[in-house]
Amino acid sequence: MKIHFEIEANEAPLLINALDLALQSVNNPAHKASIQKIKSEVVSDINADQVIRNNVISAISHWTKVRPILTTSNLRFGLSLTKGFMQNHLHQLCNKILISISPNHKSKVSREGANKCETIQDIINIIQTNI
Amino acid sequence: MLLRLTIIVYFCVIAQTFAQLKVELGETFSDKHKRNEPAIVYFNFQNNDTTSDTFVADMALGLTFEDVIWNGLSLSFVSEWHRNTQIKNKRHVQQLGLNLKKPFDFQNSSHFTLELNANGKYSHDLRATEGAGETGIYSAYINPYWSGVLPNNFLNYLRPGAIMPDTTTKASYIIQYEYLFGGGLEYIKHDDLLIGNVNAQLILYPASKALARLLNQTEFIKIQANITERTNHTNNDSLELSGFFFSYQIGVQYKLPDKKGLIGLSLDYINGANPLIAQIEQNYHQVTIKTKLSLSSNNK
Repeated sequence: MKIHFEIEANEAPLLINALDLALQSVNNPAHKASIQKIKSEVVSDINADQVIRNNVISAISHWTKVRPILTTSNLRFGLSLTKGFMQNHLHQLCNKILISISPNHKSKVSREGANKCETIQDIINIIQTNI
Repeated sequence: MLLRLTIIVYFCVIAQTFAQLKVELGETFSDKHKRNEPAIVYFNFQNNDTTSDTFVADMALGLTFEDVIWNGLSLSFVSEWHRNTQIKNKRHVQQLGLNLKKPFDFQNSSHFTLELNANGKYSHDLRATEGAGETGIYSAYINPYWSGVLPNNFLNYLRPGAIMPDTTTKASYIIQYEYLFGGGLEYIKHDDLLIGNVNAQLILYPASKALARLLNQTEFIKIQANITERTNHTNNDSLELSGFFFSYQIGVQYKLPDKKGLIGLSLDYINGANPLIAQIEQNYHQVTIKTKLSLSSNNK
């Protein structure tokens, strides 16, 4: 079974703590192994999210002089990225990151999809949806 | 009206069927800057028999294919409708044609890009005498962009298409600005009129940082000025269709979620002639409702 859900970055440690508590309170080895597997999947997702975020911020830093670059930064109003960059380069940047972190990604980021991004978080989200 | 609605629905269905396809509703596709502007709609039906109804519309419906044949090339089938019964020299123009857009990127450190915007349209001026109002209009424009950063800080502030100053500066609490410029050629077949075009656009976003925090709308207040200088390069003395064109818009707009478009209200001032929509020399103010919609079949 595949269960997909979204949580905020600051809620991730809470979920890990909850799984640790569950591990301590369970005695059945089979149940313990199952919870351990869930925990490792969650940790893997958290790491992947951080990898994408770091890649995006590093790539965008070559196109703007504004610092710091935060996940909430507005691409055009906050980082002064040009209309030309949004229309012609952002989708290429997304696809380079996508290929580097997931060679077997399911689809590519389109020019139109990338052009709709308004914040760094939007870029992270659009890459995640294509992995 | 029913026919237009049918065409809109038809466009939407096709756009949702094919990948890399989108439907855009804007002001006009001929002008690169105006392409991104919302369509104008305003009407006022009078109860008094002695005064006529008022109708203002500058609308363009485009069916756009992205990345066709060549990477970055977009091709649009466009239907435009320009009507104004409010002004002294009324206009009512319907147009049908093709728009082609292709950026040419120069792979230097600042990523200088030249964007070509070419149009070929059949135009029908419904107010002209029989036959005289039908013409082909062909135009091509070049707009420069710098996509990357420039080494010089001062020049960085002057990059076309960049919103400056950025929100880390105190000045961004007061105002942010953006400007674009370009030039090209326009040819009107019926009058054998070749016109040179140089244009610039300045957009001001007052209190954009504060509005982003309060309303989550960075472009809620928008002040925009457009300047176009047209020069007649033929012996045809249609001076009333060339010359200086100036317009400004002061308005508020609300962006719909997921970049689906926007709605707004604006005070517009127009001064000059625009041969592409058969508007001869005149100046007027108008208050308009504006809307821009973009339906894409591929949101990835």
